[in-house]
Amino acid sequence: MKELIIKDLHVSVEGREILKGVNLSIYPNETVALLGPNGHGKSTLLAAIMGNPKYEVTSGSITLDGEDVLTMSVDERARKGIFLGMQYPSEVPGVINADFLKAAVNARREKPVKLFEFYRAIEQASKKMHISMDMAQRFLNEGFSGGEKKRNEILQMLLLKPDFAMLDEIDSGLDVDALVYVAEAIKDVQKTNTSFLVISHYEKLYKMINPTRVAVMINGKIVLEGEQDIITKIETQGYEWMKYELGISIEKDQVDMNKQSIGVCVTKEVIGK
Amino acid sequence: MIKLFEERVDFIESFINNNEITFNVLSNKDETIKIDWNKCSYSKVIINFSGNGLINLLEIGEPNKISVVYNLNDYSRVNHSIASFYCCESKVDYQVNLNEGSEYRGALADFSYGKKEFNFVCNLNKVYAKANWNLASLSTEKDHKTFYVSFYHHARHTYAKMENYGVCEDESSLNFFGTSSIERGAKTSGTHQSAKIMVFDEKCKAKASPILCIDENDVEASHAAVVGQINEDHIFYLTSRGIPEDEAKKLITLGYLNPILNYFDDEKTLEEIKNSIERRF
Repeated sequence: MKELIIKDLHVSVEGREILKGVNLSIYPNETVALLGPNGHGKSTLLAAIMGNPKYEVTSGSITLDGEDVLTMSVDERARKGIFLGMQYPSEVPGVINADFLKAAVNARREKPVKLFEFYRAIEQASKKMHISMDMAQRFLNEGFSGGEKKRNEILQMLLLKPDFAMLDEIDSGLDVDALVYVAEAIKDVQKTNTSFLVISHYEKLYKMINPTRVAVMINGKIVLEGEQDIITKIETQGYEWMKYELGISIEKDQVDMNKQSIGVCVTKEVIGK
Repeated sequence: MIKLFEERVDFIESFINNNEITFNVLSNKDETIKIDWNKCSYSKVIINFSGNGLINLLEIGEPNKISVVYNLNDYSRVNHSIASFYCCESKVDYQVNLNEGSEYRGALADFSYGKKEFNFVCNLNKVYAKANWNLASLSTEKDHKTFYVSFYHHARHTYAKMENYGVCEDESSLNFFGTSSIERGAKTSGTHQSAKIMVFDEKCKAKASPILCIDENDVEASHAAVVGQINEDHIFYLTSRGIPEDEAKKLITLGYLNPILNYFDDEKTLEEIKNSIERRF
């Protein structure tokens, strides 16, 4: 059981600030639903917690049971019990799924896992996720369908038994049955005292996994925390109500005008000169 | 008398002419033959393959300053595997000549140390000749390795594909030169080549040079070349599961080179290649 505390977190990507002072705490046994419009920093937050080097933390802190997460390497964070089920899992050609899983399992153990024990663990997890055992011998995520990739992420979560699991739109690309398999697996892991931070745009997954708290991220900040009724309201009304009820204006992505485009703007520019 | 082959087999006959030796291999059933270059004292070796049987030809040892010619007669088939994992200086020239309907599959697993120059030329001389080439090479420390692989389509309906993969580390250099040439008249032929080299260190040098020479219209041809560093997203994915970065790089590198093992059936050779890879890391 671990406690993750995020304080005033600022994160930039290629010089552009995405997170602008995030404060969020996830306590033991909690499942926090993280919602927000596209492009407002939800995935950035998860990537920053995991330590993706593309995301630069410019200020703020993240601690796990009081330990400074930001000074840890990515693999150290994982070995401390942090897990990220990715929105777009990488395809790694040449690396056999089973070899990767075995290396990941062994990374958390003092003695390497016994072959039979490892085989049984994969067999059970594969059965739960309705994944063929043949997939263990395929290259990591290569040629997997979108749904297979997501199920493979959850299979990894089952094998690695994290203390703090983050799931980034794990329900996208899943068919109706696969969504049930994923939700059931999450529910099983919830029973083992794992805390969750789950991003989804849809109420369906949240209804299945029953989050204990809801946080909404807008403009790179957590602007609202509360109960599950927020999810229902967003599902039915979108995010515009926040503007009127909470006074939060939602920033839209600025699309730069193509300087080479032929049209009125170019004409104006030329005339202006 | 013939020390080149590991075992004497009754379907092979040989002729010696000065410093050159010729073997005729005739078999209508599948056979495996092994060549140990460490036992070879000739400067030129010619092997003529005939018959319908599939010949699995496995080469071990390091040939140096040897010219090797393989002639595949009509409809003969050869799976040619070369395992290279010793420390030495090596220069070798291969020429493979394919006749009507013959099929050649070549694979070179190069985990050797030192200076290496490898020249491979395949002539697709008659219709429906088909060739497939796969190379995996690991270059580390101060290795200097250059591979020239060329396919020449001289006849219609011929097909060739080459895939060269390499990993370049430390202060080593690794060069792939691939040539695919379709001559005038070799209509409806297909030729494809790709080269990929993964570089790890600032001081290592890698070059991939794919060349297409096409002198006919009704053909298929493609080439690709990539020289680059290990994909950061792949490293992040593996380390996010707790795998240390060094181990992640090793897994990715092995994944890059290991597919060459699929072309080797001989258990002893496979084990030696795997041990060699382990030693190199």
